[in-house]
Amino acid sequence: MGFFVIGINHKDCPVEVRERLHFTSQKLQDGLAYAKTTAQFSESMILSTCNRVEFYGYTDSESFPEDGFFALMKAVHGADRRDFEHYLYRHHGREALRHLFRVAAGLDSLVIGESEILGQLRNAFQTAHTTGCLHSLLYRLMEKALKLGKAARTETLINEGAVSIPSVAVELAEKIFGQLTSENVMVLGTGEMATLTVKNLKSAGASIRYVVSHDRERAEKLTVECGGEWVPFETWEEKIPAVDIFITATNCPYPIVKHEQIKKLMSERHHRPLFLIDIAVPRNVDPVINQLDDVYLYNIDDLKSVADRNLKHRGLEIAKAEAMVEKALVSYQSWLEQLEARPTVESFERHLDKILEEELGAFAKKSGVSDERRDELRNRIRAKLLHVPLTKIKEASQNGGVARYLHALHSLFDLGPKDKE
Amino acid sequence: MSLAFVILSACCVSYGVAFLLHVLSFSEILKRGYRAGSVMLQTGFLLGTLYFLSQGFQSGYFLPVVNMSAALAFFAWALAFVYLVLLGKARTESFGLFLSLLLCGLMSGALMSFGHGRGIQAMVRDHPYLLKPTFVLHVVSAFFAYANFAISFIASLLYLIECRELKKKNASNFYFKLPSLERLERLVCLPLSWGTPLLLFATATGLVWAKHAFGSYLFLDPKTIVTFVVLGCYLLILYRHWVASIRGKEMAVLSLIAFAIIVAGFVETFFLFGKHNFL
Repeated sequence: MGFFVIGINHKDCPVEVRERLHFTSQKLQDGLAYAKTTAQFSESMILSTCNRVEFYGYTDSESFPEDGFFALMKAVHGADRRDFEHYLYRHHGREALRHLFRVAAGLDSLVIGESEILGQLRNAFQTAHTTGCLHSLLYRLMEKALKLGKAARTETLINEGAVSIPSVAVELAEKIFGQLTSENVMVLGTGEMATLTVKNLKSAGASIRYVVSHDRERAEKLTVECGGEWVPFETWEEKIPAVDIFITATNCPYPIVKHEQIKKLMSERHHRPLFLIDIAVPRNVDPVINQLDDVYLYNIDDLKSVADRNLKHRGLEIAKAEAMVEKALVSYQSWLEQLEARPTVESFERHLDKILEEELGAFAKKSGVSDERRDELRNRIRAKLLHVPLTKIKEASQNGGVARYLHALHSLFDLGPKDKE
Repeated sequence: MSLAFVILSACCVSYGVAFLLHVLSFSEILKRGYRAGSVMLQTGFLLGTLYFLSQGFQSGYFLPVVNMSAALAFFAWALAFVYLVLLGKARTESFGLFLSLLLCGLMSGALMSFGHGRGIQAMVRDHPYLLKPTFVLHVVSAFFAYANFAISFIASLLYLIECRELKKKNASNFYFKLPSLERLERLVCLPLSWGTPLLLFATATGLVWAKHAFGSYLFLDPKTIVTFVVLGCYLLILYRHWVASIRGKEMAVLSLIAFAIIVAGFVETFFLFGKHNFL
C-alpha cells in the first residue's frame, strides 16, 4: 500500500466533531505511542489543528489500514467510528503525497496560504520524530513537505494581503503608520468585531489607550485583556486628540463622529494621520470625513472589499503553488522509486560482476593478461553495460514507470525473488 | 574609446539593468528582483565613483562640472550616494524603480554629451579661479543639495499616489508595492532637512567665490535670484515642519512645489539666460 492519509478537516466536518477528535499534547503522545505498537503502521505522524485532524503513515499491508486508525481513535478519544466515519477522507499513494504537499503549501487551509499550518506541521513532525514513529520514508517526505511549504510562501504571493476584517484593519494601519509601535487606539463599543479588531491591532504592536462604552463591565473586561482605560461614552471627544486609530462599533442609529469635529481636530493634530475604522451598521462616522486631508476612513463595506480583493489576488497565485506541489510530488516519487529499484539494481550488478569475473578470469589465464589489465577491462565493460539501463531507470522514476523495468530485469536475468531483497 | 567612456557606459548599463530588474519585480515576473536591482544600483554607484576617481587622477583636479557630461554624471552619482548611503535603511522597491529610471536617464545624457565641450585642463588654463577651494565646495554642496531635493520630490510623488489609493479604497497593484505613508514621509522630510543647509552653504560659498573671482557677489544673476527663491521656499517648508509641526500631505505638496521651482529655475537660466554663466 505505501503512504496513506486518513483524516477530517474544516471542509466537511463540523466543529463539534473536530473538537472531540482534537489531540492535545498528551493525547498526541498517547496516540503516537499507540500507533507505534500497531503492526499495520510502519511509520506514522498525527497532525491536529483547530481545522484538521489527520493521520499520516506508511504501511506494508495490502489494504487501507483504517482499522488501526479507528482503534487508535477509540483508545485515545473513546470515539466510536460511527460518530465520524462519514466525515473522513482517505488517500493513499500519490494522492496521499499530494494531499500532504497541498496542506504544507497552505492550499488546503481555510484561509488559503496561511502560514500557521506550516508551524503546526513542523511540530507534528518533530513530535512524531522524537517519539520514534518516523523512519527514513516519512522523515524524508516531511522534510520535502516543509521545504515546499516554505518555498510556496516565499516564491509565490499566496499568503499576501489580509483576508479578514480585523486583519485588513491592521494591514491598512500598517500602510498608514508603518510598523505599528505605539500608535494610540480608541474603540467606541465592545462588540465582537470591535474586540477582534482591537486584539489584532494590539498583537500587531499598537497601544490600546481608551475603550469607550456604556457598559463599564464589558469595557473593563477588554481593558484587562488588551490594556488601556475605560472612558464613559459621554467623554470620548476629549480623548480623541491623542488617538491615531479610532474604531467605532456602536448601535447608534446616526453618525456620532461629525465632519466638523474631525476637521477641527486635524488642524490641532497638525495633520498627523488619523485612521478611522467604522465597523458599525448603521455607520457611526460621517462619510464626508474621508475627504479631509490625512484622514483615512474605512467602513465595513470598504474593509470587506479590500479583503475580497486580497482573496482574489491570492487566487491568482494558487496555480503557481499547485505547480510547485506537482513538481515536488514528481521529485519525491522519483526518489522513492529509485530507492525501491536499488535492491534489483544491486542484484543486476552482482549478476554482471559474477559473469564478468568468470569470463574475464578464464580469458586472462589463457592469454596471460595481467590482473591490472583484466580489472581495467572489467570495469570498462561493466560501466558500459550498466550505463543505459541505469539511465532508463532514472528517467522512468520521474513518471512512475520503474516497475516494468525492474520486472524486465528480474525476468530476463533471472535475478531471484523481487521484493524484500 | 577612452577608459572614462567605458566606465561611464558600464555605470549607465548597471543603472539600466537595475531599472529592468525593478520593473520585473514590480510586474511580479521576477519575485525579489528588486534585491538584485539594488545590487546593480550599488554597482553603478561604485562605477560612478571609479569614474570620478580616474578623472581626478588623470587631470590632477576634482572638477566634476566642467561640461554637461560630467555635470550629469556627478548629479547621478550624488543622487545614488544620498539614496544608497545616507538613506540606506529607508530603501524601498518602488523608490528603487523610480530612482533607477532617473539615474539611467541622467547617465544616458552624460554618455550622449560625452566628449562635447571643453576638457578640464583647458578650462583650468583659461579660468584658474575654478581651482579655488570655495568653488569646489560650492559645486559639491549644491549638487548634493539638489540630489536631496530630487529624492524628496520622488518620495512626495509616491506619498501622494499612496494617499490617493488609500482614499479611493480601490487600490491598484501598484499600491501593494508602495511602502507605508510614514516611511515615505521620512523620505520626504529627511532629505529636505539635509538639502536645505547644504544649499545654504552652497549659496554662501558661491557668493564668496564669485566675489574673489569676479569682484562682485553677482546678486543680480538670474541663477542667484532663482537660488534665493528656492532657498526661501525650502527654509519656509522646514520652518512649517519643525515649528508648526506640519506633516503628511501638506509636506508632500510643498516639497513638490519647491522642486517644481528648481526645475523652472533651471530651465529659465539654461534656456533664457544662458548656462549659469558664472564662468
